[in-house]
Amino acid sequence: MNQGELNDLMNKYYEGLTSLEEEKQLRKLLLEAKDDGAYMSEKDILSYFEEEKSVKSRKAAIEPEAQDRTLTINPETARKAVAGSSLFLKIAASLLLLVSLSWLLLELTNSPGKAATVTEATLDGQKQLTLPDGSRVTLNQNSRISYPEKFTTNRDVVLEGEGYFEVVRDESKAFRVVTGNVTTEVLGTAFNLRWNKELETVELEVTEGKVAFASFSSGLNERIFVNAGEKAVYRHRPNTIERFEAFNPNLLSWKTKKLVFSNTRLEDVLTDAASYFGVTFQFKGNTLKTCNFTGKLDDPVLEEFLEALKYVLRIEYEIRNDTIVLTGDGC
Amino acid sequence: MTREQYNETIAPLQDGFYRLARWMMRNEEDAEDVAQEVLLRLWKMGNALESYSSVKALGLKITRNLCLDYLKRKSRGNMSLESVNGSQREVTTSMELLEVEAGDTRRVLHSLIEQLPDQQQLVLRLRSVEELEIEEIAEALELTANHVRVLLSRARKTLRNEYTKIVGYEPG
Repeated sequence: MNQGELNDLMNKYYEGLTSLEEEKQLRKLLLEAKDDGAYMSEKDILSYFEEEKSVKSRKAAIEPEAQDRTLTINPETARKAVAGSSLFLKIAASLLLLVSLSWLLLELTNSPGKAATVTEATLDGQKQLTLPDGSRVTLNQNSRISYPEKFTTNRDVVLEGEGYFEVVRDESKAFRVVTGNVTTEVLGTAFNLRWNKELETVELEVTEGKVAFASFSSGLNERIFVNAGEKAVYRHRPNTIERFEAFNPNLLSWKTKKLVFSNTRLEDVLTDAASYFGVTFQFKGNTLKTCNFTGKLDDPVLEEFLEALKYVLRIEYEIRNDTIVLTGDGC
Repeated sequence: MTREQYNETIAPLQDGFYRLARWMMRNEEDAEDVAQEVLLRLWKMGNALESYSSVKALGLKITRNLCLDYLKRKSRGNMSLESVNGSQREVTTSMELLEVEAGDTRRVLHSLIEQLPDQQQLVLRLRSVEELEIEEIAEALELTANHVRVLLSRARKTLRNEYTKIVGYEPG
């Protein structure tokens, strides 16, 4: 921009006729100018306003908790809330749902002309995958995931079994995991999702960010937000979504390779350990169950865990294939 | 409105509300309270917000009205910004007489803007600090777009002229 154009723009500025874009340009020109040109006052004034922009509130934004209907975890209230809305809204909502469901189906099935669907599955082992958007998934054993070869509008994947997701942030494309009746939706965060078909439950543990967890099946029309450190469980019977403020970190031990116990009852310790090591425990006598155990084990093998029990609680063990028999005097 | 929508669209506006309230009330604590109150009111409006073209402008309008109410109550019926902050104003006006040293530009500009008529102050700040469109300022201050442009033009000219006089730069 030459001096003449700058002068014209400046005149326009003083008449109050410049656009925000032009003012931005003007600001850039003046603030970056090295020489002391004709517009010294303007330079000072614009820097003053730039500084004013950095004034920020020191209080966190208020969290309007009480009025938030979507956060109610009692399905009865949620149903009432839906019943209270107008018929039109209900019809509109179900139409929208139908449309989005069929769209999702279209999007996920391997129809000609669409991007091919990739399916990965595990049996005994675990598998690390990178999705087309760079997000990473760790599949636990006996699990299966399907996703399009290329994400177009949204990022939709279907999961059976258990997976730990580390989702790359992309505000323009929601990342959605469908597990049976439940959809888990995020923009970018990390979470663990487990669909247990026998128990007809879907469980979610969030480790980073915030996740929307929703089910629109069989009259349940609920969507809740789950924050880092929280857990949510969907139960097909009696068709509810419930939120918990904390979860047992050992639920993620399959992924983190860590077992953490803090004054935990031995019975619960062994439940976690059984699932981590893939073994079953038996007691000789019930006195042991009341013992408590505290400890942190990093990538432990079974023997290390048993030695720790032996050392701390004076428990003897015997390994019989996949069954471990424990004996001791109790605590 | 879901909490997610609130977090994405309303909560980020807090700083702007706070800055306007702080400017009008000259008090950080009261400004924080007003900003929170505005967030809460917007939240309570829920889906009705969809009928507004600019939630930010609406929020700033509520901010301004809350501040005016507050100042009115404080000064028992005397609603002008000028009279409320009269004592402060006398102090700042006398600054014109002071020799301006490096680093004082901020204080000088601050006091010069405070000496503008109330509406010009707000128009200038909403444009220069909050970067609102002319139409948004019109909505926030309940003026016409044309009136906003006139006020903006006057405020810019006065500020430049007064400031140039004080610092002694050759006019551009």
